[in-house]
Amino acid sequence: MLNQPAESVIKTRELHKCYWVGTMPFPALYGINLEIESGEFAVLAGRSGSGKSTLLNIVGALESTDSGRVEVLGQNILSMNQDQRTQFRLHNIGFIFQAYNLIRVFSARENVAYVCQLQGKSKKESMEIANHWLQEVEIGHLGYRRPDQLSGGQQQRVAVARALASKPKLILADEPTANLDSMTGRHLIHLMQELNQRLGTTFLISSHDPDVKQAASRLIKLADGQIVEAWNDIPKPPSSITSSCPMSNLPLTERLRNYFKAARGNARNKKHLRKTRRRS
Amino acid sequence: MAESDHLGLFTYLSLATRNLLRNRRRTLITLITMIFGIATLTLLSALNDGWLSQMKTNFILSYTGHLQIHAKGFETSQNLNDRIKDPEEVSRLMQSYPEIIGWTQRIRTSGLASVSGSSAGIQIMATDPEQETWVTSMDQGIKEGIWLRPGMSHDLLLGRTIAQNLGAELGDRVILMAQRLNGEMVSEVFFLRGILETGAPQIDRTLAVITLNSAQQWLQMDQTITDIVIRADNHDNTDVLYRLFVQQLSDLKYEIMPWQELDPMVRQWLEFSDAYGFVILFVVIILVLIEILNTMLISLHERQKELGVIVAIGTKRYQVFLMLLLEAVMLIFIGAILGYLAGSLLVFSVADSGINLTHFANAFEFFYMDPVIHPQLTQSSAIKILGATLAAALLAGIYPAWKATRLSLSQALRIQ
Repeated sequence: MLNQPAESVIKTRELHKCYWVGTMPFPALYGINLEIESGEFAVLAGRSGSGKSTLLNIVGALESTDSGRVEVLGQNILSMNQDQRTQFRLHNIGFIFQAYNLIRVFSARENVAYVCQLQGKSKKESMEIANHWLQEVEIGHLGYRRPDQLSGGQQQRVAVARALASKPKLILADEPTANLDSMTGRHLIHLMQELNQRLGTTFLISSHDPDVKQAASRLIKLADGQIVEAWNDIPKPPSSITSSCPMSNLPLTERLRNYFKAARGNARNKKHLRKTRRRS
Repeated sequence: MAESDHLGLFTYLSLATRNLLRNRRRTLITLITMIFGIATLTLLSALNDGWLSQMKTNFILSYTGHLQIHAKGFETSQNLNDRIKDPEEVSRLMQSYPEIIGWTQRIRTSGLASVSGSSAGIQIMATDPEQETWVTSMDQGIKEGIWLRPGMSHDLLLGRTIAQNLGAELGDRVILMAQRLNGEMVSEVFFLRGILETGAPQIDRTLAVITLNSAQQWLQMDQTITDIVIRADNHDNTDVLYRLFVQQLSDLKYEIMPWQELDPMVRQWLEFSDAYGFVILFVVIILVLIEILNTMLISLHERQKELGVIVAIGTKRYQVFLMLLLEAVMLIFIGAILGYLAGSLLVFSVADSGINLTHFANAFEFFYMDPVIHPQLTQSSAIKILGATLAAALLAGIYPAWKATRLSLSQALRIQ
């Protein structure tokens, strides 16, 4: 599948996002231009607060932007309403979270089957699919256990199975190995890599785990809300991925000024700012 | 894109049940509070229904019966000229209604009674002594002496209070004075054969009972009467009989009055009791509602992240709404059923022996109440309690469920 003509799974243009705490703005993303192609195993790296999770949330249709354009699988997700986004996530995106985030009251198998049921499959069919994916992640024998009866690594495998069960084209993983010991983390990375190669599912992973970075087919480094470095097939030099104006070395006041300058020019951005301010 | 986005009811129920069980202690405490509240509500409601029923029965059996038929205008004028001139015409109807278990003819008029120089205003009630026993329980209220028998043409009974006020004792001569049809004042000597208590002190203060025949002769009324008093087989059939008599006696000669109209004070008291019942219902339901709301909001607060996750992976917001609403409804439903069962057990355990409030007997007498109250479970109160609880469940569930649909996904997912 990797040999097929590359098609864009994620495309962002001039993505801006600012959080407000009271009247205090905290720019999270500044002018992100990113393109991820089908079948990639891309890793977003960067320090805590660099904007990795925000970018993942925006690409995952979990969060809105202040300005810019986001296309996932050719669809402008920012123009979708809540229900359309939910439906889009259900059928196109799988999520893996740092803290596993399984539904506590469901068994491992039910957690995986739940997504299939949401897709409208019968309970029986959903359970069969869940069994299949639990076997794929090598914990088929633990399907009846509740999350609190599983180790961290096992829970994360359930999360991987859940993410894959809906047959998504894109999987977004936010620090998937952060809560795991290094050995378990490496196993998980290997598993995700193997699934990526075998199924052709695109992975976008945020992580500062060196093992994850090592496994990446593309590494995108974020700092202060901008892409500062990117490599295809490590340790290749930066690819077509760009950041419009690196400013990590600028003082905060200068960065804020630049941010608002860009934001002011965009009517939509203003609307979002007002909304965000009202919410805060 | 989607085949269907429908989660089966079983999944919703399963989720709701498991979420209720995830914090067993909190669910148990909430349930116990609800059970206590609903059980108390059931008991209070049963007590209310019990004493209301007793009050109705006492009122009806003490004097009035379920229905009275008069000549048009008699209840207002209390004039003997407004009398039923052909009692047989009405009496024939009585045979055709199985709901009627007894009826009697009466003459009612006011007058004056004198005993050894003492005199007082009285309400003379002339009745057929045998028929009267089928309608009221006055014969059982005899405290001294005997109940009247047919043929006792110069004998009378007095209410206990009027007898005391007149200083009358059994066997005393009592001179009654009343007005005939033509307006002439006449007096007659009667002998006191019994002293009775009807259960209604205001009646006992003025009541003098003589036989119907003696009154018809004395007041020269021939075979005419003023009242036909009817007893139904149960309170609920009063309305049925009322409608039937209104249809049958639809001309302008008669007025048909159910017991509620015969004593406006009793009716007002019953209405007040209904209102009081509603107030108790309202207070308990509000408490239950607050309790559930509190539990659901705490639960929602604890599960923000999980709810964020289930929305992130594709659960629609209306599905989240239904999940939480069902949880609240299920919690209240279980609490209501268990509470009602517990309340019913309490009611059954004291229904026969009753709750003895003899200490307050004087206060109760006035309202035809017995000092021992036998609580009663009725279908209408069960519907009221369970219906109000379900409404409370919906109200208590809607806000947290709505709040859950307003969760900010990004914030919920960032919760550690």
